[in-house]
Amino acid sequence: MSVQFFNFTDPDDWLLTTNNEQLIINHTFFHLQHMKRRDFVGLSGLAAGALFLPSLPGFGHTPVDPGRLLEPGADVILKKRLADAALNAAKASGASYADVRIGRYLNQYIFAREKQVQNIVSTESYGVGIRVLVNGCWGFASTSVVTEASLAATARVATDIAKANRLVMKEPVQLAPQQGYGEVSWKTPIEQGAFEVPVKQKVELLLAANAAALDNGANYINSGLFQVNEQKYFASTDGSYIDQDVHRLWPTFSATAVDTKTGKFRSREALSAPVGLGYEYLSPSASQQIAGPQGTNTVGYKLRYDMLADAAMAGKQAKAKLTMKSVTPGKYDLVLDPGHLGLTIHESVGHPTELDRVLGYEANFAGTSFATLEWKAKNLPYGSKVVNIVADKLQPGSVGSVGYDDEGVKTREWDLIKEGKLVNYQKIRDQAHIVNQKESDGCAYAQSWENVQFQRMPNVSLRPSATALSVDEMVSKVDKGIYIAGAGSFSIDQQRFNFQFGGQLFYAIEKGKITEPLEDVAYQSNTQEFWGACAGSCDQRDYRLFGTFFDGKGQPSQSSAVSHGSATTRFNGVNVINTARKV
Amino acid sequence: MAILSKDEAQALLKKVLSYSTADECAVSLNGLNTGNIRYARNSVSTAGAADSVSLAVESRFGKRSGIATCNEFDDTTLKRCVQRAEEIARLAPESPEYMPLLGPQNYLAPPSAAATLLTATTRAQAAADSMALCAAKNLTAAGFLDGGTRFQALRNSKGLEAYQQSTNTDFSVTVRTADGRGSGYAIGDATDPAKLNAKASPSAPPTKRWVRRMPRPSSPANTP
Repeated sequence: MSVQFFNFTDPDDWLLTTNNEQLIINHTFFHLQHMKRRDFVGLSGLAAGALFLPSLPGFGHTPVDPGRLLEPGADVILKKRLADAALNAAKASGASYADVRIGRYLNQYIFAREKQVQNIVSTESYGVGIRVLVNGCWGFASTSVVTEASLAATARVATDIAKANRLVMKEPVQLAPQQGYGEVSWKTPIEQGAFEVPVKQKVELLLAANAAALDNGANYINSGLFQVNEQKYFASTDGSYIDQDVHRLWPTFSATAVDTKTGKFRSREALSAPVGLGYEYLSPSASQQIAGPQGTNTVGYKLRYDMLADAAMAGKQAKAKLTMKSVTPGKYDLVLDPGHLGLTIHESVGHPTELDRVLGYEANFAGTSFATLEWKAKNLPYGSKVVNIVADKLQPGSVGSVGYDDEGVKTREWDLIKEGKLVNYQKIRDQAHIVNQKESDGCAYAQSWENVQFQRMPNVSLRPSATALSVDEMVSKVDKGIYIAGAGSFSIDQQRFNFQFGGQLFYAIEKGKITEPLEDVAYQSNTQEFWGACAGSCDQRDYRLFGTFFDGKGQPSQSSAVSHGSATTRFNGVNVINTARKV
Repeated sequence: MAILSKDEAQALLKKVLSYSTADECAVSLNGLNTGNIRYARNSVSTAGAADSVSLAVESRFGKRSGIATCNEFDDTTLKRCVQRAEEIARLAPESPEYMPLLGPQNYLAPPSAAATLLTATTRAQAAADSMALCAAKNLTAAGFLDGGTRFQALRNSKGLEAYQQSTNTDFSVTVRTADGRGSGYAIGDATDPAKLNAKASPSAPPTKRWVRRMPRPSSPANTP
């Protein structure tokens, strides 16, 4: 291999090679498969000359010893002094508003494949992002040199950018008023910090999960444990000094079985979810598990996950998929488990109700929305009357849960769809006025100190039924249907209208009973037709969170973590295709 | 700090290599000074600047390799970075694709560093040109301009030495009709920002070839 110049400092390299939001959102291993091989080799610690790190959150940040992740960051007295230096410099340079985010972002990723550890990566990134409003224009600049002098200088770079943008201003930014909260703090309620658990113990868990899958029929397995800690200090000229300690965790795997005679292979991914919890998520608890419909041997996990049991089941199911009956295309009533439906909610409700997409701010990258302000004014149904969808950044255990967003707004819950009608969008301080709202929804986020904060999807969740309904009762009323668990590959257009979704596990339902497992299932519909076919959900007992760490938006592109809650839900008469068909 | 000269960069890399105890060691510096502007609905949405340098060290013991990076350049941090690369290398499995590092090479020195630099003002002007063109035709532009100066320097224990500066300007724009039902996309890039004409580069907005209409409902019946 010849020596090459690698663009080491551009974290978006591989994203640019795909330039496709659908890839960014999909599961981790989907990412790894889509990276160039050299990048994956770099990731797995086998690099031979490739000085390149891919764009998982924290990759490209400085690797550190695991022990470093437990060391405290700067104390709030120091951070307040630094923040004030930046705010004062911004005001002196003409800013009418300024905010400062001092961020320390800690990540640890552990990867294992079959019987080997592939890589253990611990990273730290520390720096400051400063956003200013001068004469109605935004400016932003960031620095990794965290001193009072550097912050003041960076604030002036930001104001210079804002002043240059005056040239292009049509309408001044209208910032919804926000009260200052003074000095406050918030921490993800965790029982055990993941960084406190010895690396050896975490490696043993992954290797044990791999062994469980291999012993039960899988030929290959990749497993990973993602651990994230965002230590964020936000200060603004509104008088807020907000110190937050945010924790997220995601254990996951993909098990593959191969028929060596035919070359056919099938995979089954983990039924876990990324969570806003500590390492306690990995302590199995019977009260946090719920059985799927009788006859499916699937298990739904709430706020605790049994990785070993799921991996063992995945080994069996991956192997069984090689000989399962291939689905007959046609119209079916679908019974969708929350671990599957969460992705459909994300794509067909979460994205089209982002106000920046609706207005066209994302037209050049992530896409737009069919649910424009004009569309909303027509008062057309988004779904059937049983569809009630809420946005929030509050749900315990969700990855979107924080006390305050990245522009200093206390988080909350609000309605997006009420009884089938679109009633609201997702918006931040400079968007609220567009829909005549007095205040922000509190859903601004930046993936790091070096990126500017902007509107990001909060948790978007389908309310469960208020009347009691179990998943077995739901299945018992279905004459010809398919039960789907787990999220698979998908495709949706740039306006979030026509789509297709696969899954992990599929079971035929005939005359109210689960009859047999199926393969090669995907359904095709459009957002209005699909949600219009919604025939109700199970109750709160079945409610669970789906999520992702990799919701991509913005230029330069940023990743955001988001959860989607729902109970098992029925959709009538949906078109199902056979994905193994020859075309 | 962001754009080191050849001499500054090689002096730093030489020092880093002197800390190595590995069989082979390759070190590189990458630095950038960039800025961006993003606009939509014919006005600016976000604009920012970045300024950074990072060092990467690859240490090898036999066929085992480890990489560490840092973005602070005091002697203690540099030594720790080399140590970390060596610790990781010792723990790594042997690479079946191991190839020895290259020795000294002759590289071309293309005149890739452009004289004209992007500034906050020139970025805003480019955005203004693009928006004005579209607004005049009752079209809406959503675009992104990102660019700046970078340098890369390499050195290894086999005597290889390289240094290069580069500039880039990347521009992309999506142009939509007033009813939001038609859109076109164009990209342009240049090593010299003076050569990127935001009025011309997003070419003719939107030609028939580019236009995509509002998606219509689809069903398996009309899918092959």
